[in-house]
Amino acid sequence: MPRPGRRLVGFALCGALVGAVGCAPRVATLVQHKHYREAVCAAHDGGPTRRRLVAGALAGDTELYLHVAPVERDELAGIVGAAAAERVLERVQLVRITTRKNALPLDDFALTLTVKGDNDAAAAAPLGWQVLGVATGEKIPAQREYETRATIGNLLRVAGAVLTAGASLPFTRFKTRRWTGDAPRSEYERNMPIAAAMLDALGPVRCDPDRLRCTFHFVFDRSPDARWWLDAQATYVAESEPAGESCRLEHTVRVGLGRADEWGERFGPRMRRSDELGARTIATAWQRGEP
Amino acid sequence: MSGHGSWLLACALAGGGPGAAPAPAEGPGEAQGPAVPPPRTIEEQGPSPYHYRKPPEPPGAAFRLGFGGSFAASRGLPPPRTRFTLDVLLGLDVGLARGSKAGVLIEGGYSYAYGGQHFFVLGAGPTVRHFGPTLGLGRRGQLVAGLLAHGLFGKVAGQRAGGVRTSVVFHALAWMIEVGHQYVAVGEQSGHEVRLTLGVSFFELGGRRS
Repeated sequence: MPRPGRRLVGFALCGALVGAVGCAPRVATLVQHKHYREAVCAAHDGGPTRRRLVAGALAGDTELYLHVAPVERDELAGIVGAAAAERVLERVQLVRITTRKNALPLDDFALTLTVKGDNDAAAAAPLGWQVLGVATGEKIPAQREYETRATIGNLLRVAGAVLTAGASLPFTRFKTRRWTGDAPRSEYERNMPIAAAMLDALGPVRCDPDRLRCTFHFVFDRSPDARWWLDAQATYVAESEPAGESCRLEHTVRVGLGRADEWGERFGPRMRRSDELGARTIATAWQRGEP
Repeated sequence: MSGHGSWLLACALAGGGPGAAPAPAEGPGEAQGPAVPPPRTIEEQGPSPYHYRKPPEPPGAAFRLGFGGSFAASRGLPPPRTRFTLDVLLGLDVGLARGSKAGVLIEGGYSYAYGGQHFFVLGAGPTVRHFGPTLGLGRRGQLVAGLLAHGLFGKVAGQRAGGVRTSVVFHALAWMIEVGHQYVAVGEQSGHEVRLTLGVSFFELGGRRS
C-alpha cells in the first residue's frame, strides 16, 4: 500500500501533466452547446467527420431564407423616370434577391451571392457602374492615367539629401509613379445620371443594421429561356491565436431558381427556406491563418 | 438580347467603377422585402471552452549540422585535449499543448571528434519554442531553446567508449549554437569535456496543416 506522501506526489505529477498538455473538448459537445468559435477551429484541425458535423450544424442554424423577384417597372420609374425605366428594362432584367439568416455566436458571419445562367449567353452581375453602363446605354468614363511623386522612394531620396546637406542632389533623380485607374466618382455621376440614381436608390446590397436581413440587386441578362442558379456562400469566422489570425469556413450552397417567369409562383409573397428550395452543398473550404 | 450575357459576365468579372462593389457582400444600409419569420439569435449554452482557437502544435522535424571544439576539463582522457568536433543530428520536435511554448525535442545522430572519437548520440529534453522576435516570419517568435541530455555510444581511439552529454541549444532561423558538457568513459579512463558547437539548423515548429 503506497504511503500518503507518495500518493500526493503521484496526484501532483498527474495534475501537472494534465495542466501542461490540456484536455481537448469533444467536437460533438461544442456543436451541441453552440460553441461555434471553437467548433470552426476544431473542424479545421480535424478530419472529414468533424468537418461534416460542424458544417452541417452551422448550415442548419444559419436557417437561410431567400426570395427572388424582379424590380417592377413602376418602382424603377419612380427612381429614374418612366422613359429611362422603359429603356433599362428593355435591355436587362433588374432582380432583387432578399436573404435572411440567424445570428450565430461567431466573430464574423457574411453571405455572398453569385448568380449563373445555364448557358453562356445568360449572365448576371451585381449592380455596379459597369453593368449599369450596359443596362442604361450610358457612356462609362474611360480609365485615367494618374501620377504622383509622393512615393516612399522619393521620401528616402529627400532624407538622403537632408542628411548629406544637399550633396546628394546632383546624383539624385526623383521618380514619378504612374498608374491607370477609374475616373473619379463625380465624373461617373455626371456621365451616367440614370446609373447613379439607381445605385443611390438600390445599391448592390442593403442590410438591416444587424446584417441579418439583406437585399441584393442584380442585373440579369434578359433571356426568357435561361434557367438560373444562385450560389450562396456563407463565411463563418472565428478569431484565433496568434492575434490577427482566424479559422474560416466557406460553405456554399446552390439553389436552382428556374426561369424568370416562374419566380412569382415559386416564391410568392414570402421568403423560402433554402432547403425548401432544394439547396445542396457544392463546396466547403476551411482555412486557418491570416485572412 | 443574348449578346448582353457576355457583356454582363465581362462586367461582373471586371468589377468596376468608383464605389462599386466588386462582389455582392453584405454591408450596412436598409433592407426591405417579403414576409419572413424574424431571425433568431443562436446563443452559446454556457461559457465557451478556449482550446482549439489556440494554435495547433503538430510534431515537427529538426536537423542540425554543427562544427566546433571540445576542451578536456580533466586529464583522464586520451589526448589531444582540444578536439575539432562535427555533429549531424536529426530530431523530432513535439509541442506539449496548443498555444504553449513548452515542448520536447528528441534527437539522434552521429558525433565525431578529432582523435578517433565516434559516437552514436541519442538524447531528449525540454524546449521553449516560439519565443523572441518574429524576424518577419509569421506572427510567432522564431527562437527555440532546449536543455538536452544525451547518451553516447561508440569508440574513442579504437576502444569501446560511452558517456553522457548535457547541452543547452539555441536555434534561430537556420543557425544554432550549442554549449555542452560531456563525460566520457574509455576503458579504465574517464574524463570531462566542455563543448562549443556552431552550425546550421532546420527546425520546423510543427508545420501548419491547411
